[in-house]
Amino acid sequence: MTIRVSGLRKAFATAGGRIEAVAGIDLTLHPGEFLVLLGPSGCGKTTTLRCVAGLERADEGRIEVDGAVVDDGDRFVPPERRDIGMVFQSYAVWPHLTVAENVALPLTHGQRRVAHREIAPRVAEALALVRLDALASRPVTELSGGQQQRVALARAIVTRPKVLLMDEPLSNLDARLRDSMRTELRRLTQALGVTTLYVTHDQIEALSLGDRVCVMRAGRILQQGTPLEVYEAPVDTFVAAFVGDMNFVPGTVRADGAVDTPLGRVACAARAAPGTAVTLGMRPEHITAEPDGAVADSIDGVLRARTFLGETTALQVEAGGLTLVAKVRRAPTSSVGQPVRLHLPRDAWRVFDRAPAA
Amino acid sequence: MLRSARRESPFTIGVLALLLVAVGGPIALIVWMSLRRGLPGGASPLTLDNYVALFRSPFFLETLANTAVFAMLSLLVTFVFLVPLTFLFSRTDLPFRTGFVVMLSIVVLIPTFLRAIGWIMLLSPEIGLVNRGLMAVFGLESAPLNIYSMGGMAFVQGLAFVPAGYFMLSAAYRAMDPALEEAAYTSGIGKLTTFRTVDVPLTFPALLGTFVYLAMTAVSAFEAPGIIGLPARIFVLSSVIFLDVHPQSVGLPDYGAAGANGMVMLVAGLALAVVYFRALRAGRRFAVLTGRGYRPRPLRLGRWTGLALAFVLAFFLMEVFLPLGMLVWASLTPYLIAPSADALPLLTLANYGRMLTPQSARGLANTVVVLAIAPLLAVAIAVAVAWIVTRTASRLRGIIDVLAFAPHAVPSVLVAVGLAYVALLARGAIPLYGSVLIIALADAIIYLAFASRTLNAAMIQVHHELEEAGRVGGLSPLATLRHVIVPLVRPALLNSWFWVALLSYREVTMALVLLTQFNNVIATDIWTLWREGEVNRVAALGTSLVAVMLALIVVATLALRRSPVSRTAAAGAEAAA
Ligand SMILES: Nc1ncnc2c1ncn2[C@@H]1O[C@H](COP(=O)(O)OP(=O)(O)OP(=O)(O)O)[C@@H](O)[C@H]1O
Ligand SMILES: [Mg+2]
Repeated sequence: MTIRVSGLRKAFATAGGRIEAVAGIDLTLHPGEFLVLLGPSGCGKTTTLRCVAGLERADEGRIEVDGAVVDDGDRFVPPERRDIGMVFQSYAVWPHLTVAENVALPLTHGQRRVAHREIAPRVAEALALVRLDALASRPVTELSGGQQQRVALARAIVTRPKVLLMDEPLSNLDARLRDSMRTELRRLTQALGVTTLYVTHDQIEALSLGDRVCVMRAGRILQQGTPLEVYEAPVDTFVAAFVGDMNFVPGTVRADGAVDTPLGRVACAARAAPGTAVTLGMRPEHITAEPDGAVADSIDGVLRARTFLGETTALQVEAGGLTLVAKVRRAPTSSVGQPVRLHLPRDAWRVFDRAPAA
Repeated sequence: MLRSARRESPFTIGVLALLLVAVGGPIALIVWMSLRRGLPGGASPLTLDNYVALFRSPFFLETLANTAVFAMLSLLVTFVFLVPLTFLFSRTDLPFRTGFVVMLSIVVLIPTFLRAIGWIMLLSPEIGLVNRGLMAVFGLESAPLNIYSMGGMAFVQGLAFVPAGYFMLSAAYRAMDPALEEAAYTSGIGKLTTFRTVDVPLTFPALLGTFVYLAMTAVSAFEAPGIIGLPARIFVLSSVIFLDVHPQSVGLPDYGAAGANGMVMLVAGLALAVVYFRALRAGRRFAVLTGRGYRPRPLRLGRWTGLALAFVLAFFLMEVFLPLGMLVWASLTPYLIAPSADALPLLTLANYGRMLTPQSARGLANTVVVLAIAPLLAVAIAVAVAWIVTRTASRLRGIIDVLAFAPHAVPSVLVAVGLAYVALLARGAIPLYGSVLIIALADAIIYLAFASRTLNAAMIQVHHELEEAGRVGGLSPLATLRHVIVPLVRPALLNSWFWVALLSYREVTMALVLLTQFNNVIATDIWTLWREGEVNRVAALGTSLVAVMLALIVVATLALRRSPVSRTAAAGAEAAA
């Protein structure tokens, strides 16, 4: 089941004027793929998802599911006629029904209803998949948040949709539950082989769940790629900062490809014309603290703060008028206020065009 | 919210059309009939004759003046009780205040015409027991008090407005930030002065809103002017319109005159409505300043408690116990006689025995028909309206909302006259005129405003994702409405159905306007008997009407497991005014 979104635009008329929620988006989901839309609040993730679901009608552009157009200026297939399941941020489990009734309603009164004798086994199967079989006859209002979330999931998959849409399904759960549900979601979607479009603003969720990640901003997609690509090779400082922490250092490209920065000359081989203003970026975990000795690619600074994080230690180091953050496995012996030497491997620098703000 | 509807759905257009016909129709017909002469359906040119005749008549100015004086005097009576009561119930530690509020929510349903009848039995110059008592005690030649006066009429109407006014005002009083009062106390200002200088000005927009709303109602109120004013020959707009379509002596109904008078009433109502919405807007501005959603600490009454309780009891005595007690007493006696030990041997149930006549049996059956149809119709339309207004992006939802609310502002007497007119026009095609159906229809139209407001409030609380979950689960919009939304708003549905039933049960103004030979209901039976002078049988029938209502309230309260003072009751109280 392929989903193709092209040139999608959607604006809302509000009291304060028109808001362009989605400003031209192209997306392709391949069969069985898990695609994550990642971006800050208000960037249009939900709107994109709702257009795919048919809960919003696109202003411009076209949405195809399995080669069939479901939305382009003329044609519009309403949500109940699209073969989708959706998990809502608020869960949206129906409070007047029990767990089993919630899951059964799409089968009894929906477009994809099934024969009467098939209902019970289908419901049981869906509930077993989300491990809620024991609670089938409970009113949903008596369930915990995590359990309600599972009901919502079971209800979304009970019709065996080819496409599963999820809008921040884990955002209302506490951290621990979020971790276990994340693993569960991955297991489930893989087991079902369902094509999944998943919305989140949590980069850990995005990187750990997605086959591919689309980073969005202000109604546009900035970058698409595997989690590793997006993390290791972000196209700009915004993407870089959004999918993880990064130290940014302003600099100017030299004739030999090295960059002059407040930290000194960095031999990182920038592919830009000499004299270009650039921003260099390095992830904190690529930095190591050197106990002593003069190693290449090292700088000296003053330790300003250290935070023990368990496996790693976060260091704040002041150097060249900048504050750098490092996440190191082996913490230096120096204490706060004392000099410290950091190793910044030249291969780990990313070079970005200057200007885009983070 | 579903924003997928770019073109309007046939459903939305259907609902709009229905509202235009049901709500807009009667009003349009008032305009139409005011421009024609003769009977509905007869040949007539469009003419301004009705207006010319109306404005030329010396009687017209008197009617207008009477209407204005009646409205103002009624409201004076209302506010003398309303403001202190609202303050006492909402902001102080008055004992039993919850019980008092429950009582208000129930007595609001006692129809004004029954109160008026009770008061006539107490205060009429001829038969009034209070008058006869005063004459005996002080050796007076003539009756000192006369209910058959402007003052009497306004007194009864004003008291009847108090419960509705209470529910409108109390929300504003309760939301008031107690810190504002405390600031006054710490500045050394006494409680009474604080009430006058802080509470009253702060709640002024709400006070004004309530005042104007009740003024709109008073301008078109018919029950007190009908029972008291007609015999006293004190005419107001509503009673003149009633007489136009129901001439007391021989003569044909004059729909042209009724239309012209109706237009005057509509214009007055419209002017007041403008003021009302201004006041509402001002109220919202104030609401921002005050604390939101927390319970102010009640004010301690201390040594004022006794006086406050006496005031409340005196109010309830006049509001219900005196007139209703009088009604019950009269229902048990063969003729009007003052309660005393001597009268006890005379007590009899004969009046109740004589209640069931072929006429009243038909009244009972008709009432049942009305109750079977009107609430169902009103609530069904209200569900559709509320769904469109709160859950779709239809561009028509604004106008649909306004149309469904409009009956609230349109005098019921006019809706009835308009309906009677259209039924007469169509009587060849549809046998609606003179049927009980037309009364049910009138009730459904008038109480639609209340039902749709209640359901709006309930539906807006249903998270939009609950509905969308139905759509992506494959449920059509209609299946989603049936299986998701309606079950979720069921309490509001049942509540508004029940209130519309109660309101229709006691409705008399429209039923009277639409009354012909065979479509009498219990309320009109009482009215007719009263005009025939059957005082004690009226008392028995009236007592039964109220008793059945109380029983229904008790049953419904138990069944719905809800206090009668729900939000529905508060909104219903306004509809009852
Ligand atoms: N129904 C609507 N009416 C008006 N504006 C809307 C509506 N829905 C969304 N918007 C606006 O469109 C923009 C994008 O909203 P959207 O909900 O798609 O963001 P999002 O990326 O899902 O954000 P979040 O992470 O906060 O959920 C926002 O500026 C929002 O205010
Ligand atoms: Mg969102």
